[in-house]
Amino acid sequence: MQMKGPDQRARAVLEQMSIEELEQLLYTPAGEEPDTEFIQQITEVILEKEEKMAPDCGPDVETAWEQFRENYQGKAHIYERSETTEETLQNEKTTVRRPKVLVLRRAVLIAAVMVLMVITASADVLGRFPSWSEELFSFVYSEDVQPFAQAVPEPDPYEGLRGAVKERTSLPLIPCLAPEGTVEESVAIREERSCICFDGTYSTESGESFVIAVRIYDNADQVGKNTYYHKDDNEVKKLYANGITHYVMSNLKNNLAVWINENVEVCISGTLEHSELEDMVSSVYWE
Amino acid sequence: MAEDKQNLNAEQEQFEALYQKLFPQLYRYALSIFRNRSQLEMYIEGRAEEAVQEAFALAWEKREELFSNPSPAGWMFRATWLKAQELLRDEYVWVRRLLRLSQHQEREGQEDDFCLRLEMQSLLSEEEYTLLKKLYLDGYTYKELSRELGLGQSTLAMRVKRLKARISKELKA
Repeated sequence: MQMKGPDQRARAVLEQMSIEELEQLLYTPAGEEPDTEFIQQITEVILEKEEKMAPDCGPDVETAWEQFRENYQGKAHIYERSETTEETLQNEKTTVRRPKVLVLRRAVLIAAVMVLMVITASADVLGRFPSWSEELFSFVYSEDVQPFAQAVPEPDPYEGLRGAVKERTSLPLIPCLAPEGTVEESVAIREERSCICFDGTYSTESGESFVIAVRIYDNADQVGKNTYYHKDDNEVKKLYANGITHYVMSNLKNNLAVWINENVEVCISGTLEHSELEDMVSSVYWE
Repeated sequence: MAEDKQNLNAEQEQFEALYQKLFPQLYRYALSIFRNRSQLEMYIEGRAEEAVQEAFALAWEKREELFSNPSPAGWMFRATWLKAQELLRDEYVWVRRLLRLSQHQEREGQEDDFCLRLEMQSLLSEEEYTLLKKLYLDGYTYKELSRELGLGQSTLAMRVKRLKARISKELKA
């Protein structure tokens, strides 16, 4: 089929992107509807690129079809987890879709940022690329701080921290999950030169203690410049959630998770199990 | 009667053609959804395949609606997206429940929480716990687990569905 002008332009932009960048475009934010036409285009381009890189490495469609005939066809009711999917598909006409022009703009913008990143890579202008050695993990460099503290006591585990952070940003940053019997010890707020820091300290009934540290920067390009994280020589694990990479690592008896979301840097650290920490990280994005 | 059979064959052919054409793209799309959202990075391939197969299962059931849609491919992409969201939500709920239970079992020797133990033991047997644990905590797919247990995949899926429905009902009661 002959593509129309705007589609051709969109396709040309998509073809210039890396697979990683294209995958970011496939992400549909919570509360929005996927633009299926655009997603089709993106997956086509991804598959073409992957085919070029590693021919014949795609899924085995024949085997999948056989398994579909055997286990799925005519058995949709077995795999129903809720009525939501069916209801939503029926209500398709009434749902609000993402305006395509916006998505295309986003594609062009990402392409532009990509070019900018290539040009400025040696200067590390954004300063957000994580690096770590056997002992330290950091997003960039450290600077002097001028802290002052203010306690915000609250009975509910994260309510105090969530409320304080919410006054500054609507980004999802605070977990919805807390280890059994978590109580808040304190929430400290301090101002630094280029950011405001929120530190929630918690303890649990089983004797664990942990801190949730949120740093909201004035500008996104300042994120990560003030912080180093101590780690031991164990591997840094990456967790992907909500289009964001979260880095989970250990430092002797402590475990920590750190990530950046726009102009905010978050760190959860303490005597938590890795699995607890990972669960807490994923719960940040629960709707 | 013969006409019905002929119609079904035609539908089956049309459906198979759509499946063959769209499966790679839908699978790739599902993979990226799980990469973005799932904490279980290493199991996403199985989960992505499940989401696509379940979307096609739904599509077969709704084939009239699918083929009367101006864009059957668009319909399939949306169904895959919804199925992936459903799988993720389901996984979060069950991972959380099973984590609580596994943490409780680990602590059992230290301090006996009589009420919790009683509640959990009445909810599911050890065999049922192992089944759910393999599926949600250990990241098995239906395909892998059915092979290990020597069960048909749809039999296993039905067993899991009934088990979860029973637990959910009892937890709400």
